Amino acid sequence: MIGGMSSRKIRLNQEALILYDWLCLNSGLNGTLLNSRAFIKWFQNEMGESLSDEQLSEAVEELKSHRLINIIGWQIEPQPFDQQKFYVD
Amino acid sequence: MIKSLSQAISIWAKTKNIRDTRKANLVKIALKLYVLPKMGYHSETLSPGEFLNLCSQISCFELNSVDILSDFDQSFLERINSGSISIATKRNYRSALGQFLNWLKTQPWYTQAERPIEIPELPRRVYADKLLSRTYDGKRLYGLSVQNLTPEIAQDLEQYVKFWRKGSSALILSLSKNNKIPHDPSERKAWRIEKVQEEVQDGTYPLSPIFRGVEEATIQQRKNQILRFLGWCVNIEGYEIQDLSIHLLTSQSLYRPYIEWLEQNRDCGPSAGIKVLNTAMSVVKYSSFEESRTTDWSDIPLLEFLLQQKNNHNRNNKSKLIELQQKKWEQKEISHEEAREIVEYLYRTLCSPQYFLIKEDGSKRLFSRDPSTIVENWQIYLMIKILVYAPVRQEELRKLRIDDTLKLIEDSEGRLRYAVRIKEHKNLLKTERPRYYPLPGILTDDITTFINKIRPLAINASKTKENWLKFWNFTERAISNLDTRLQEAKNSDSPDLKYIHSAGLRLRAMKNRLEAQEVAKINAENCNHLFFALGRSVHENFCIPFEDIHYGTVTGKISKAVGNATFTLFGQPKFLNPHGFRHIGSKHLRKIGKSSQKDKFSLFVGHGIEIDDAYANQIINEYDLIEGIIDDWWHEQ
Repeated sequence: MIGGMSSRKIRLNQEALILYDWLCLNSGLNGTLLNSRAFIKWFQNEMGESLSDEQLSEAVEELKSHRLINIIGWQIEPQPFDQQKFYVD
Repeated sequence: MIKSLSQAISIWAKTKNIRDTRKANLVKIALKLYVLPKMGYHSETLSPGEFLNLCSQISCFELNSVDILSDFDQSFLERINSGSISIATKRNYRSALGQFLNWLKTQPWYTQAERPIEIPELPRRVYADKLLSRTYDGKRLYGLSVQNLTPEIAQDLEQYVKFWRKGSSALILSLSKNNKIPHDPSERKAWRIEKVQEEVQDGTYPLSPIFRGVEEATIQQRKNQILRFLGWCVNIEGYEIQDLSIHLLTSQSLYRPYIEWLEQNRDCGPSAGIKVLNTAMSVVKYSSFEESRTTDWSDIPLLEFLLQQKNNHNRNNKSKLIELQQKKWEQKEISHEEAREIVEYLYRTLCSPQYFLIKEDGSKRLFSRDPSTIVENWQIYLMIKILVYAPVRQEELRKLRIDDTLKLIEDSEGRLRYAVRIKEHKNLLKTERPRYYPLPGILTDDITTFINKIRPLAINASKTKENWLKFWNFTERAISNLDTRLQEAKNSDSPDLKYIHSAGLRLRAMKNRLEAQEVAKINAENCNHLFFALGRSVHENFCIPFEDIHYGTVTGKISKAVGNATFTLFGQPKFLNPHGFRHIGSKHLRKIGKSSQKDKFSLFVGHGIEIDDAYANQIINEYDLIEGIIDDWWHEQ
């Protein structure tokens, strides 16, 4: 509760959420390399939809803006997901 | 961060075959009511939010430890027996759960999950005896330094260096600038007419030698050769420096005895004579540039004579050179297969943060490597791995700078690999193009791990005193304790001098290391090289790139590591130097029947096909070549 208003959960776009889960599942000890082509191909196979480079970079930006990922050099380290703050589904 | 069950379900729920069905919900219920309780979780009574929270704390890989479907069956049966559910509903849950588990098995992150970190069990390391150093008559160093020269000789030598740096076009330009053209238009006109008349009278159109500037390393080698020659004149033959000049190197009365002395007293091979004669020829070219009226100094008899001398020297020593090469390669030749085995061995034995030492009695003891050792070991491992799979010049290894000369790229097939682009390289004057090549994919993971996990151990070490001490594995308390013990030892009635000496050295080293932190911090902030010194002996060299340190440092580290590894693996030490990997690669390519690709391989390693052939020929013999085709030479390909 901030200033008497109830805090509202932030809803993430579908692509950003999928990317986040994918990054977490693919991450190693310190993070993961985002192989954009591999991800796009995987997305098309699994989700049955195409994903453009632009949509992918928007998803990355969205995760970055909510501090859900940390980009270190070429690796992306997913940050913990606060369930009180974000929609999961 | 764990790969959680909630993420796996979440992503699966969005896949094309599942998203518009009830299957994800069925899986959640099946896990909550029937599977997780069997695994010891109290999930039955949790709210949806609490259940989700629980699933975010459970690793997917926990599902591997049990037989999910059989747990589900058993649990479901218990509920049926208690009368709380009917068997009719089982099929839906079981089918959804099975589908989820099957999907998991198709996901690379699940099937190729990182194996649990295994701590290797290693026997005590064995070290190969070092190769015997050369023995000399008299002092090791006999050459002069520039400070020992007279101002005239020093100036001449400086001019010589400038001459070879420039190349003929720049020299001709600077010579023509020396002809002072009058400013006044009428004077200039008269001056030009005079020049035209001179040209007509001469009736010739003078040519001058054409040559490209020489690479800096070669210039320095030749300069040092001249300084050594002058050193021999002064320190060995007893001449006074003021009686000498660099041009004496072109006189056979002096260079001949010098070459003889090198071969007989300094244990030098026939190549030393070639180097002396090459340098002598470069001095002649320098001194006769303005005099020569041909494009290749062919009108300078002294140069022709020296060339002939060099050819004679080569001819007379051919068998000696071959014998020497064979002897040299006996001490270092390994096959490419062995080189790859060494890479695996080095990774297994050097790169883990911890290891179990297996003692002679079979018992084990756990050891942890301090961060400085991990960084040092990783650098050696990675440099050798690069040289095995990308036998480029050592110079190029030392020039790798992250996100500058070394970049991670996605290739045309979507694979991640590193690429190297170096503007300043050995053959730039010849090729006039930067070196630009991809590195094999087998190196990608290791380079990334080194950049992201290992290298930062060093780069961040000097930021705080705490990190710095941790990196080198000592504490301020250790310093003060050692100091106290040393004082006590000194004040003892019967001082142990050996201990006092060694403890004194250790204490000084620790204190110096501590003091070097500030310099190290500045070096680390400026360092973007992939490989750099850790300054084990010169503390201020911490994070100084190998590019700025004598190349012998890297050569020593690599040949020592290969020597120890070959001794352990194959019973005989082979001290292969970084350049030797180029020969090994060239030979391997030919041996496995990929000679047709040698043009591309030559491009990759950065030399002409002729040099590649020459490298291979040094270590390949007829038997090797014939063996490659002996069993199927009659088959069509």
